[in-house]
Amino acid sequence: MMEGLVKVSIDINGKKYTDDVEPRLLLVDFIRDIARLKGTHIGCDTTSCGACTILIDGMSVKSCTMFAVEADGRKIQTVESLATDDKLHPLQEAFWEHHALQCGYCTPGMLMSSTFLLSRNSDPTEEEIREGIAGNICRCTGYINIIKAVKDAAGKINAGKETE
Amino acid sequence: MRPRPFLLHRPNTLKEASELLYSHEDAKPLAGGQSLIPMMKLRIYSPEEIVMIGHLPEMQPGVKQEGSTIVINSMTTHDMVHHNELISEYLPVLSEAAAAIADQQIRNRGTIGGNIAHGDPSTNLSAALLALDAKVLASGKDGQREIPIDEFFLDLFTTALEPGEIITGFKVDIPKNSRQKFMKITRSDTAFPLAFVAVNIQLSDGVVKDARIGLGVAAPTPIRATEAEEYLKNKQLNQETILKTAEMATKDLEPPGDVHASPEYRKNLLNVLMKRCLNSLLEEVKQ
Repeated sequence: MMEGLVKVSIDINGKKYTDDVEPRLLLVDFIRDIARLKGTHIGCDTTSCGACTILIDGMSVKSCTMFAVEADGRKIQTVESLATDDKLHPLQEAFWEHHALQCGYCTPGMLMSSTFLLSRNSDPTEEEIREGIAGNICRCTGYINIIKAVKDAAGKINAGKETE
Repeated sequence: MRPRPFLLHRPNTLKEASELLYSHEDAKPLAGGQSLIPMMKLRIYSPEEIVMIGHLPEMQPGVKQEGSTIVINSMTTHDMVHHNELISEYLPVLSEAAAAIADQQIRNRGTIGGNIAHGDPSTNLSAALLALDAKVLASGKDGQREIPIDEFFLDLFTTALEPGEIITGFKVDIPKNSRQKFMKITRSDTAFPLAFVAVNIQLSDGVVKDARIGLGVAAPTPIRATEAEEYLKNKQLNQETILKTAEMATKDLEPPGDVHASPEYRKNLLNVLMKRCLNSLLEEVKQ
């Protein structure tokens, strides 16, 4: 039995964060308040909007619907993992080019859901992209430009692979 | 909102988990947490103690074939159920039902064991498992037992699990000459479904030899349309029998009503889904 605080250690974007936390601490709060990584957003906080989407051991999940203790000893990727040095990830570039965001609040989640989608399906159809981001809500731009951006990024990533 | 504080247990064995759940009346097991955590956050439900079970060796995700039976372990996620080759080949209605659960993130985290143990009449998998005549494998402090799915759902959020019992998996006999279909109607992917239907029929020369039909959001528990199943036996599948089956499956239903669908509307949706499922199977047979 564990009373009070529980020691939790999570690898986030290749760096290990360890702290004693309340069992009820949500993973998203661990990421934002303990690891101080503010890219992962809290939107609806009711498992609907997907703004808090991250990858855990490569699988996309909503970090508002997991306890931090469930992620103990596991590897997490947040939106901060996408860009390397000063270079944006092809998905981020495509979101920029296609005006796939206005307020940007949903963007970290959209990017992580798209990252998961492309990790499984390098050339998704429009329908597959729609299905892939069904758990992410955008309340300003709408989805057309986001879909265009994901399609474009997939093409660029694939073209990059061919020339390698 | 954040959940109320709770005491956390992380047992080392399944037996230890069962004993904890048995002796601590207000303790709840946590599997994928995709139903429990949202309820705790909204403070609809605030257990005083949580027992983690996802890390236990007996619970690990996996699907395997044992002779003519498919065994699905409890922590198998909806995404795994959707994409598993054995399930897609032999139990497509279960694969389709898993694919239609919420969204990708929830399918990556939610588990078949947690989903069924929750006892919610609006979980897709319940209708599919009813249609497949599955057995629930439960482990308690006094050992293991198999519970037929027909005897599993007792009332709203109430199942046949005894205090301390944990679902470790499911067994499904591979149906022969079977045609299966799952269909649902929902306002949006992440919303609760308005209605859904799972059908499993055994066909021989266009004649239905056996039928099992699961209905979702049709009653306080997931249910079978037994009268319609009986009617369909030894009948040719055609427009007339399809209409009659849908009528029989839904005529006596008293589904729940809410702001999104009145009982009458829901009954109509179930009737329409029933016809669509059978028509789609009829098309398959013709090809």
